[in-house]
Amino acid sequence: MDVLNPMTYDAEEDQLRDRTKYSQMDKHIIPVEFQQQPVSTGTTIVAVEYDGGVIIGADTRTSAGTFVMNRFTDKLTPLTDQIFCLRSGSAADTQAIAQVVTYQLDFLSAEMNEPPLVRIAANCVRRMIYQYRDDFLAGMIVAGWDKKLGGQVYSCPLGGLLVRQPVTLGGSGSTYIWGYLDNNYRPNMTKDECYDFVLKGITLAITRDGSSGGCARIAIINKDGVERIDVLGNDLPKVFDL
Amino acid sequence: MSGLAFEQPTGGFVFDNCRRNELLLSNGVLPGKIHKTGTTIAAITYKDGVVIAADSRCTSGTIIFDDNVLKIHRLSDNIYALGAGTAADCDFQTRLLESQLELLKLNQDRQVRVATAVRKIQQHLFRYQGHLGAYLIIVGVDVTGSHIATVHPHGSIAFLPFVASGSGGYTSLSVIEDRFKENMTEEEAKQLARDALYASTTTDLYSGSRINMYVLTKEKLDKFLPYEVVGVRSDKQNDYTLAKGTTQVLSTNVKKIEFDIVNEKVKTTTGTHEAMELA
Repeated sequence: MDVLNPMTYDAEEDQLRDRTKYSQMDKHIIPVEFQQQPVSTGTTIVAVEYDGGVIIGADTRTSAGTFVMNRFTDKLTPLTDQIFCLRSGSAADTQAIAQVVTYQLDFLSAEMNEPPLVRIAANCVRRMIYQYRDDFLAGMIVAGWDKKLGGQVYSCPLGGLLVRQPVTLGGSGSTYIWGYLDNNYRPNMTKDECYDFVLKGITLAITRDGSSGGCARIAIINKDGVERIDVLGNDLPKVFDL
Repeated sequence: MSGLAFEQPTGGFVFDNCRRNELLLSNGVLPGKIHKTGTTIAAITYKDGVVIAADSRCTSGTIIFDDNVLKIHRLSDNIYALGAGTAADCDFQTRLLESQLELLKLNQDRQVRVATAVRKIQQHLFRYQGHLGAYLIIVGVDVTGSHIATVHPHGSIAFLPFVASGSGGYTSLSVIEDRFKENMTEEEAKQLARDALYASTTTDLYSGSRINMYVLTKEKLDKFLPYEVVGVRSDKQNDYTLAKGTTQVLSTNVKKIEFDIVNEKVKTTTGTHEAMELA
């Protein structure tokens, strides 16, 4: 890879690659009304570190085009006892990645005779996304607690980046709450403040994003383990809804 | 003939026809439209197990090809699959999975779990990246309880308390959404499944004929083939046979035809043939 002349994103080239790679026949053979949309977790996922652990949250909608396939999905998938991943993008791709990484970490923890570090888990996820970057559509957040560095949140978006962040958002609904994050997040918040921040953020995104909806699933991960909270639709905090 | 080495056929899909299709497309030759074959399949959990129901219509265009197809496939004694989408893919993938599960059952010497079946088919479909058009509902009762899972062609799964799929799936789902409760009795569950299928077999053109239903619990498997026949042709209102003399005879001409017997063959007929219905 040329450091002085790095590869830049070329929209035309991307389209050309798309055209030559996939058959355009399907668009002619299958009438529009019968074309099945891929199942995606068009979604909102939020993760935030606090002193002693992490709080992660997601909405519960899985859609295929305009049809809601599953209105109570669990997008908080455990990779190990104290490391979770949040899935956004294609449902099939993210489920496959989570299953493979769970296996890899299980094997690793048997080899090392101790639970794996959050960074290792995030790296496994990121490597899979990077290796199959042209084929996968997966944006994931890996968050958990380990003995070495405590609570950590790592973001592994589409192309195969790995970066640790104190707070991060993901999914289609995240675009509507970046402003909320910028305005309301402060470093060193308490556990309850973080919980309210995550829940409010998901609620606001659900209100505005069509691909996010249903209930909010939240998990609090610290040295004592995982506490899962499902906030059902009518219990979500009230926001001004036009 | 030059010494051509014998080529071993490589496994997996062969995409040569895709290249031919692209070439034809670029020359402006459009393919014919595909024919949709619809289906309605539904599954509901209740207190003791699961109830699964499917219609039995197979269409080719607007003609009912086969009105008594069984869309429920056996995977194991305690696990069944319902298939929608490409019929061939559903049939073959479930048959492949059935044989794999049988081997697994013999190897591990215990009843196969639903989660195992779902994981195996999920990983298989993911490998083929959505080219196998099998929309499956895997249903079963095992040591951990009763489960229903949907599997989509790209390999995404979801475990849910009730599912409906196929062209009439939306209609069925709305009926089930309205009346589903946790821990229903067997009669309530069967009635709900029947009503859900009735709604889609009467509103969706591509679903119909019969409602086939299985009730699966830890102890038993009840098969209702069919549970109900939908859309029975009603009795004719009138007698449409014409009386002799309705058509006026204008003239009669009788001619003797000369013929020779070339070949003689004697055959016994069994049973009587029904008269052909003209009306």
